[in-house]
Amino acid sequence: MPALRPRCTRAIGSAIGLAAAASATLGAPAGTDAVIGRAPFVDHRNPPSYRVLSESERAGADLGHAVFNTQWVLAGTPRAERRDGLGPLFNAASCDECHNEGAHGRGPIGDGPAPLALVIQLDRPAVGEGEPAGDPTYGHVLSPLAVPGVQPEGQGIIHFDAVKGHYPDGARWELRAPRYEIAGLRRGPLAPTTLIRPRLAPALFGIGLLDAVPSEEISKSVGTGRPAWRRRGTSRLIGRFGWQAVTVSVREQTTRAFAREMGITSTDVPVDDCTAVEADCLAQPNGGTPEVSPELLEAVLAFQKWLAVPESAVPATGAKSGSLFTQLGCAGCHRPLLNAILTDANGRGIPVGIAPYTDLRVHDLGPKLADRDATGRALASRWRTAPLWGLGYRIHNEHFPTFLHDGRARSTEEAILWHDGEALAARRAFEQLPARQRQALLAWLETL
Amino acid sequence: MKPHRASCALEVLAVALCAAAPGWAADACGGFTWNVAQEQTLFAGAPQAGTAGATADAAPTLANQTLYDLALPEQEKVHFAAAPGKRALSDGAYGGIVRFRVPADGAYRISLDQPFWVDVVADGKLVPSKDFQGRPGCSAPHKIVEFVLPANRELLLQFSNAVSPHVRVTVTASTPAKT
Repeated sequence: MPALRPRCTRAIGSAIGLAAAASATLGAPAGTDAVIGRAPFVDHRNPPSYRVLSESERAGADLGHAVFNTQWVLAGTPRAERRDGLGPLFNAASCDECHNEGAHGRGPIGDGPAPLALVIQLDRPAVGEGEPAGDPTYGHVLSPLAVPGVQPEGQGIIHFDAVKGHYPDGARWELRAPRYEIAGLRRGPLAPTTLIRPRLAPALFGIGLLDAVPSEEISKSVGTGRPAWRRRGTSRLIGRFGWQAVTVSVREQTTRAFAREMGITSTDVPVDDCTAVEADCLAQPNGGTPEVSPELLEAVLAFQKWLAVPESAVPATGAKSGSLFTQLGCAGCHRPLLNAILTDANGRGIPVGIAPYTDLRVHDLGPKLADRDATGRALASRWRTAPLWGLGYRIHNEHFPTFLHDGRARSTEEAILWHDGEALAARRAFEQLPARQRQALLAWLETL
Repeated sequence: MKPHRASCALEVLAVALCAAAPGWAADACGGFTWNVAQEQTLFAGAPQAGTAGATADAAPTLANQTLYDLALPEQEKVHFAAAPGKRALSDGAYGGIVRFRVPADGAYRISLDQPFWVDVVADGKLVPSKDFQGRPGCSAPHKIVEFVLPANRELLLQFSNAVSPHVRVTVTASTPAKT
């Protein structure tokens, strides 16, 4: 496993846009020509694509960018037929509210109402590889907002408890452990078996490249964890998006978010998150069938497909610290390099390497990170290895960057200290490091 | 899936309903992490009525520390001094332009009761925002955007992309963060 951060090509040309191949000397996986995906983010309101787009691709991505940013409005709003149909229940009125220009959502700063980008999912435990059912009363997502005439379902409230500890060398640390309260439930309590799953909106940068990783690359045996197999009709596919790899494609992730978090139906998900007992929700008018047109859906998918991963402002130095990342065992799950297959204009597959620092597999990270059901019981939870690419950009551009699925960690150090279960050995190895080496590793993470 | 499409566009009364802010939980305005006491105090008062311009030349001048309720033209009739900084579908939107000045260099907040996109324009160019806050279920205010602005220069404030024909707005000097 390469220890250093792979350097990535910026200029893209030839058939699919690859040029200036990084070559095997830069750590590209065997059989691939280049490590791609990064680009400098000069203007955060105009996130770049990872390669030069053709005129028609650019037109689609630009339209999709506009759709992504668009505030959806109430069904029947005059002159707004392309963007009406918000709700009736919803968490946000646009994709952009939670993923600002594709970036990671803002996590909780302290105690209080869950921030906009922290959605409370309400699923019951899935049976095997099947789809989990939502709460029988409130559906898959708790909606704190609703259109006029419909009561919001409730509001997630976060309370943090301090958890203090120290390293073997005596240096102290403090984490904040969240407790979740669901306040103002309008139709009584959640089902006892419903899992309360707080999920912070992740960055979307590079997701088109993760979508292009072949299933075999994920399923082949490397290190720990396992592929998140999901049953879709008669097919068995690997989940790769969402904090627990619950969805199998950018398209599935996007259309679910449209339906469950904004109440916008699509050809893929023609119903929103009203349950059978939410009569006021079911009685509301809609904004068309479907509410997001196929053309606009394709455009917003195109916008996401091409999003590059931001280069870090921190120079990629510190080879020794990069080696440490591997030596500690972090790279076993946060794989620096993956193969991907991109498709050129003629439909040919072009192998490339990407540097996402994930294996796209799910891992048990111990009971402290596990979701709890409505009775407070923790259930074993498996988490997709979070991609670390773009970490430096996050740390240096966000006002209050938070990490992990619910934003409980206020630094990469805190995030490491939450690792347990399959990652226990790596965390222990980190804790055993001399303070200077711990700091060097944390500084190196800012180069990703 | 609901079987029918809304028809409230057909009636004037229903237009107001369709444009109304969505419902929300009771403590919706309590989640700001900045000190927003001055903005909330202003939004609790009576506004001065006005009309935003469809062009920079027609833009009225706003005073700082004052709540305004501005009527807005349909966005397709607005000629912005600089293209709005947020690329978005603007179907059904209202927009407009006003002028203002600030007395000293520093951070200032634009606060709104509706989810308009706002840009500040100086010398024909967009001034990048410094930060923002918002409470989705709150309208007093709903959204606050902070800009670092130069003193005694004529600045334009542009509204775009929301579907309300009115906006309540204040310009205030930023106050220190909550401790």
